Amino acid sequence: MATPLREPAPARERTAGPPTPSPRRRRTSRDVWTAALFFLAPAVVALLALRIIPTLSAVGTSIPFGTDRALLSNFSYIFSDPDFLGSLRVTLLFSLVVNPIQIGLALALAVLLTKKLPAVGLWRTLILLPIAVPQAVSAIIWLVLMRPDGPLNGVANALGLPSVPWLVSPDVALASIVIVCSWVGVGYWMTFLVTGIRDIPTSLYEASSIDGANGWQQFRSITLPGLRRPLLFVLVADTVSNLLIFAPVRVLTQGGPQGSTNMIMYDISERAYTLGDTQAASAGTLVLVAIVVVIVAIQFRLLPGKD
Amino acid sequence: MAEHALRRERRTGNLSLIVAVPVALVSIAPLLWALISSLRAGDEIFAHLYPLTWRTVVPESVSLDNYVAVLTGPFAMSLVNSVIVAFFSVTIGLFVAAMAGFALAALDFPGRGAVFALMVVSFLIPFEAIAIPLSTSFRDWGLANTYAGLILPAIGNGLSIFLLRQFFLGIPTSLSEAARLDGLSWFGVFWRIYLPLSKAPLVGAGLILFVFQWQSFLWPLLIAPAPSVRVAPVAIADFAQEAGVDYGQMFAGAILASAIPLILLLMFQRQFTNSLASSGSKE
Amino acid sequence: MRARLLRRAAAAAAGLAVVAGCAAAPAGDGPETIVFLNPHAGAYDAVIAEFEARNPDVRVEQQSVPFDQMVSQTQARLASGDTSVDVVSVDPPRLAGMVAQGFLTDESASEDLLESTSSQVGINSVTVDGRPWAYPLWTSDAFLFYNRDALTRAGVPLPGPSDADRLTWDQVLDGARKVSEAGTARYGFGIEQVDRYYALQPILESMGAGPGLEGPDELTPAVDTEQWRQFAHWYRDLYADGLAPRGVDPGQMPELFASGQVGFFLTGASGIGRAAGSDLAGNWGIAPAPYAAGGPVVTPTDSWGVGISAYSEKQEAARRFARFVTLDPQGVIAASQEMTLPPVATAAMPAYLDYLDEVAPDETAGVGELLETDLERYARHRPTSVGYVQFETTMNRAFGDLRNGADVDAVLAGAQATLTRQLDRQRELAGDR
Repeated sequence: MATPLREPAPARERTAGPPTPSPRRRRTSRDVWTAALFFLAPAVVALLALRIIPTLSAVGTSIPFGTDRALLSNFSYIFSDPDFLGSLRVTLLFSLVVNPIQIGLALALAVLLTKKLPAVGLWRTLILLPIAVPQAVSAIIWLVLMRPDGPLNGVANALGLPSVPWLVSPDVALASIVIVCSWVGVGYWMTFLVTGIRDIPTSLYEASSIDGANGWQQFRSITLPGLRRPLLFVLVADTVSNLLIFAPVRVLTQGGPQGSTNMIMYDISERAYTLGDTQAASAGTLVLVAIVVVIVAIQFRLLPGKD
Repeated sequence: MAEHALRRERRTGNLSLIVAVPVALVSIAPLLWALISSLRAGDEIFAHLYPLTWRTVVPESVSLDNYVAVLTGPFAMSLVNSVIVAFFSVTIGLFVAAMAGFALAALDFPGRGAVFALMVVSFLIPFEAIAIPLSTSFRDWGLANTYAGLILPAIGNGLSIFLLRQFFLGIPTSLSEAARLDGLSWFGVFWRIYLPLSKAPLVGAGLILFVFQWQSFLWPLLIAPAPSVRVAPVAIADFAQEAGVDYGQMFAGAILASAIPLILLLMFQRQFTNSLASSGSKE
Repeated sequence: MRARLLRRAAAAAAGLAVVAGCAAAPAGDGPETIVFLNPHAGAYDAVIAEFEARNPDVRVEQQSVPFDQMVSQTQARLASGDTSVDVVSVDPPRLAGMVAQGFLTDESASEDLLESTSSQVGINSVTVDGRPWAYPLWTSDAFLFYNRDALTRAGVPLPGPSDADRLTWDQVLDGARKVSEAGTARYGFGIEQVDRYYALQPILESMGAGPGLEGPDELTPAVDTEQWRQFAHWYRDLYADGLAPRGVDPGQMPELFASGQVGFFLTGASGIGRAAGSDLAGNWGIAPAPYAAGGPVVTPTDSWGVGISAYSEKQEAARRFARFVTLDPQGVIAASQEMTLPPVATAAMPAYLDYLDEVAPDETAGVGELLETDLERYARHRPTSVGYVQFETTMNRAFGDLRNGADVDAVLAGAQATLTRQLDRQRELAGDR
């Protein structure tokens, strides 16, 4: 193949603003319509049946038709509930901390692990491995490791550091959840960035090497622009998955101590599965989906790589 | 290439190793600890937690009892179930996602943006939050305690579609236009041009589907609690009983459940390497 | 082997006649399959084999879910009217809520049968509005286990096994402190079901506090009273200076005791099997659960029963099975041994005690008597309230916060506010129905 498949866009081409209609658009032929229908039908049917329609049914559940209560009473209930409001605050704080950490580490490791080093595949695999352990179990491993009298503090003490109240202090517990989630997630997101970096033609690096560019300059002028699509993917996907996290919370802290790790999805699942309040849970779900939609829409709007 | 550039590359390679190896060790340290614990006999797991001594990492005696117990019990069947379910989730899911990603990237039709928005919105929905009403529908459709009931939710995976679309967009449309002019059908373009060019992203999308299924816990509990279709994460959770938790067997189960992906990942690392070689030939 | 089979068959015939009154198998068709949803993987295997042998027209499929998922799975499946569940394990304090939601069948027809076979405490545990809604299987009790070696080396006298030897909490904690200070065990004291209302209610009530839910329907929260605050300080202080461990969940507590790191250990009957099979074997003992000086002795009770789903389409077979598991001595014994939990069926008690004698002859010498005294004189049920789930969830969280050193007044005031809000909500939703 003679032409480079992906021309990395120059850094200045960071266009924001609304997507413009494709300039190539002409009258869509019947043939394209048929093809689109053929290729999209299975996915669209699956997504409608398995995701969208059940969500719409949550709208029905959240509105108490046929009762004396106001139509939006479930929403006013959750918004008057300090636990739910607290979970919004905790989730926001968690997201602001965990996403930059995970994406920064994933990017750094991806750059590192696309260099020529011995047994690189092995290191990549080992860093990816935590995602392969069912979280219901890996969280139990961390629950033991993070005990006040657990191996993690044993290591800290052996290094001359004081013990850390990992999961028992309201000031530290959320940070501990960040650690556990990053342990699971960093290798996973790194993998997608590794794939992206691989697709940047090596000739670009070679040329800039000959021009005398150092590693940082190459990263700024070649790697980052070349990664814009995979990076947008990782950013959106990581943000969403962190907003929806709840398995580690369920095992490690049950939202405590003092509500400091009460993530919104844990709050919702408690209402749905334990308290049996499906109406409030549905209302909470809709609020959560609305928040995620807004955040992702902003990301799409502000970041390059969407086209 | 200049001689010194090569030397520089080797030097940065060694420097990178100084970072990569410790990071890899930190990543697997909790699993190593679980592995060591699963090899301990009786109550030893909790006897040497703290303070850190050499006993914390070296068992008094190595015993395979936990593995024997786990593999002769119901867990063995659940591991097989998990593999079957994951295999079909990945293969079917990948095909459906690749088709959708191709349409969204290569076909230009009005409403494409709306369909893409639908795909994106679908993966913003917390699956656990809609699992209860969905499981009721699945039971009505006769999918309770079937493999199909476990596999289907993985098929509608907007995230893998999003990923593939992002990569397919990088394939120049001139390629497909030329192929169309040569009389290749759209399916031919998809099958002969797009898929062969996208091995690495396909592995990535497969990873997304695999992880979704391998991590799945609440859904299988709701829709497939019968012993014959029980999956590994649920079977592992069963080691936590009211009268106490069998940590030895639980960790043995966790190690076995992660050994299968480990083997697969090491196999597919080779796939990544091939992709590297081919990207070298792109110029 | 042959003799055992014959014996079993004979017992089977007798048992069936007593319990189920030989139901005739429907002719034709294969066996009918009923589904039994329970949180006790493996515990019922022997019972089911026995039941199927005697009832060739019924197969029982077990769907066991992890213990901590049982409440949510029951709620999720029965609230959606799942007809595929026929028999379901029932936790007595949640019974009122399940009955109010229409999940279970009214078993009034079995009242006489229950009277003749089960202990009164057990029958009470499945009674709501004066009617039985399930079949009680096990009951429970609290004991104070101790690490013989850790106590002796710290110069703490070993507590006696009978009701008369019952220690006060002050005595126990004094001893625990000596153990901690001497370093013969890392922690002087520990509670197995730590942070759970089940384990703490008896201590609360012995200290003079109310159960926390009051009023005619037990729907009025009362957890920020003076006595509750006293208890909360006491509980919080256990952990403040490391006398008892922070950050160890109930799942890990038995391991902590079994590996010799706890001096005094408040646990239940199910702890007997675990301790007897551990490295601690021969080096531990059982004493009565302590009480607060000047207060009454209060012990916990109740354990899982078996109910029949109101949505089941095979209620006759389901009922036959539920009765077999809970009332037939053979069935009960098999299930009780697996869990080391005391049976409610009076006829099964001697066999249970024989079993304990087999497992840990020295340690359990006085347990039979103690169980009887506790159940007859001191046992206190948890509140029978449709709001119990909300109550327990909120209070367990509050206890956890106290253990981690949160401010007592803030925690209890917060819990009271949360409960008031949730129980108001509960009433509001119930008004829709």
